[in-house]
Amino acid sequence: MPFDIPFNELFLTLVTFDGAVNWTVGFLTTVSFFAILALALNTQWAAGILNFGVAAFFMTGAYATAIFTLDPPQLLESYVGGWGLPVIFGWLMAAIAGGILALLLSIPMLRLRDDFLAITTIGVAAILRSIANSVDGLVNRARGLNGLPRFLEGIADEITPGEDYRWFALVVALLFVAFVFWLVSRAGASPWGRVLRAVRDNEDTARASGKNTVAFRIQAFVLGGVLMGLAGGLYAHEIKSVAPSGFSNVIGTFFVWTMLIVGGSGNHKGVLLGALAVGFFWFGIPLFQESFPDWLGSRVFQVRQLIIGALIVIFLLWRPEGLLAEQARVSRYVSRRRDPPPTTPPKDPTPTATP
Amino acid sequence: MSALLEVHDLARYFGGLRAVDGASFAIEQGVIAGLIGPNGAGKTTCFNCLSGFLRPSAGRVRFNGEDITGMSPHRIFRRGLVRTFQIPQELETMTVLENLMLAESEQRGEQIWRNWLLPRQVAREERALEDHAHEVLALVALEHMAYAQAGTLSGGQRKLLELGRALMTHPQMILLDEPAAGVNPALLVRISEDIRRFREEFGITFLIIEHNLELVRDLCHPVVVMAQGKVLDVGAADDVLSNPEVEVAYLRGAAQHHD
Repeated sequence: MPFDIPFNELFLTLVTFDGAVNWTVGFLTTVSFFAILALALNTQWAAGILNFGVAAFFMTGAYATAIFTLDPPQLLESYVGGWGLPVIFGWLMAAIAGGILALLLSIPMLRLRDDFLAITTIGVAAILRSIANSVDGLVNRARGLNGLPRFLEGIADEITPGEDYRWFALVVALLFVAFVFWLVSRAGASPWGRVLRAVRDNEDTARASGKNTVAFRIQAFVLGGVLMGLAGGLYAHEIKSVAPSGFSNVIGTFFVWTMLIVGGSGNHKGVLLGALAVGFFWFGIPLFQESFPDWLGSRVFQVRQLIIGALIVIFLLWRPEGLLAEQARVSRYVSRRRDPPPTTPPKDPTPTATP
Repeated sequence: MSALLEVHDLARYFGGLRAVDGASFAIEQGVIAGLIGPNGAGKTTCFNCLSGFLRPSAGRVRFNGEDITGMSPHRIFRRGLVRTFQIPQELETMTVLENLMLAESEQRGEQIWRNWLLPRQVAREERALEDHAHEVLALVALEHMAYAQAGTLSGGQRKLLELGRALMTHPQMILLDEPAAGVNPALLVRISEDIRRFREEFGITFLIIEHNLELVRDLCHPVVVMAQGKVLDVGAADDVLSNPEVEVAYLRGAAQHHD
């Protein structure tokens, strides 16, 4: 898996202060993309949509930006596109591609029950991986698309030469997280979000309250798809290469679900916290590989997948609300509590007999 | 002048089962009508067809002179025909207040982009809506529970919340599915007084499914009796309840129930 490489290389340098800073910068940048995925997933889940195909949207966004920003194919490569457009345009296309995928999927979504939709989305992720792997001349099959440009690399180099680009990349990633957080929080803590919560909790009540529940489900699904596509686009330019094997269900879907479950589904702040905690666990464990006994150290990458599964089970059993629970109040415009009306008698300090 | 709600030969089949089988009746503006009948007579299925939750297999429904047959629930809701559920279906994780605020239609804050670009407009709308929800809560005597999670309400309070939700949008007509089921006698008196008051003050027409025949006798005129998917009789409560056919239908329903 491509994610592991930088962190492993950094292990030896982590003992120094510089090494620790390097690792943290890389870690926070990568986790930012997953935080965006988790926030997007939380928005879909807020409408009761069980999307187990996050990897499909993530991958679609990554490939979309690659096609638009790469140069034309070289000798042994074969892929569509290669128009060499600016990265920012690639990001836009990644978001649009994620949205289009969500729109297409919302056609079966309207006819399927929640659990069947979950299975369908897993299937879509598998199909997309398989297409990328096997169709000639589409996206260079299993070798993937390599050598993606980085955002404003030339200009950034002039301002902060060489190695310091990663600081610039971190700031860009964090700005995107902040922007996405603002988008989903504003949308969620509103009358719009209130309808989504109603659709999730009891669709019949939402319908009896005059809501076109189908339209709201599609909106939430497409918004989530757009943001997942964007996350894929951002991620592609960070790791500079895109291959089908990089978008497994474990890293692309269940890793993100774990962030949601651990952090607290329905609470965007909790989801950020969950992304940080689960991400730290996932990317941090290899750092301690050498400190583990041999039998464990050599299996650290398998063990962390196992623990991801265990985390989901543990939290669903003992703390289903996650680290930060969802609040009863949905709309940010509603007052938290009003003074009780004057007709309510003040509490009598002396106990009175109840009739 | 034609009636507010007109039902012509309404039918709904589930496979071979004819749950509603050619029912016809009309409800005039401003009445509190009752819909009674033994278990399995098709009353709730009839409500589901009227409110758009089920598409009728045959027949027509006219509301305010407009054909609403087969319309989706939110469209029927917007035309002022609102329903409640037999088993209250409140949104348990939300506050009582927001359960009511949800029910206002045409909220501008329900358009997602306004929350990003015009938050002040949404905030203004929400403040007004919150005031209105407090008024409705006062009407159904749930003001003290405004900020409680709806899941913490008692069974009777849930009934009141259902009624409040139906009142939020100033509907023309409310379909009440068993407002008295599982409600203690004191609250029962309150609910029937409320229904009368809402008819007087807001001009709301009611159609009420109810098994408590005392309540029906006291509150409803006219009373529609359904049995085996058909309308058996329509008229004043005392008349239909003394109709021997109705008595037989009830007995037969009870017999089937104990099979």
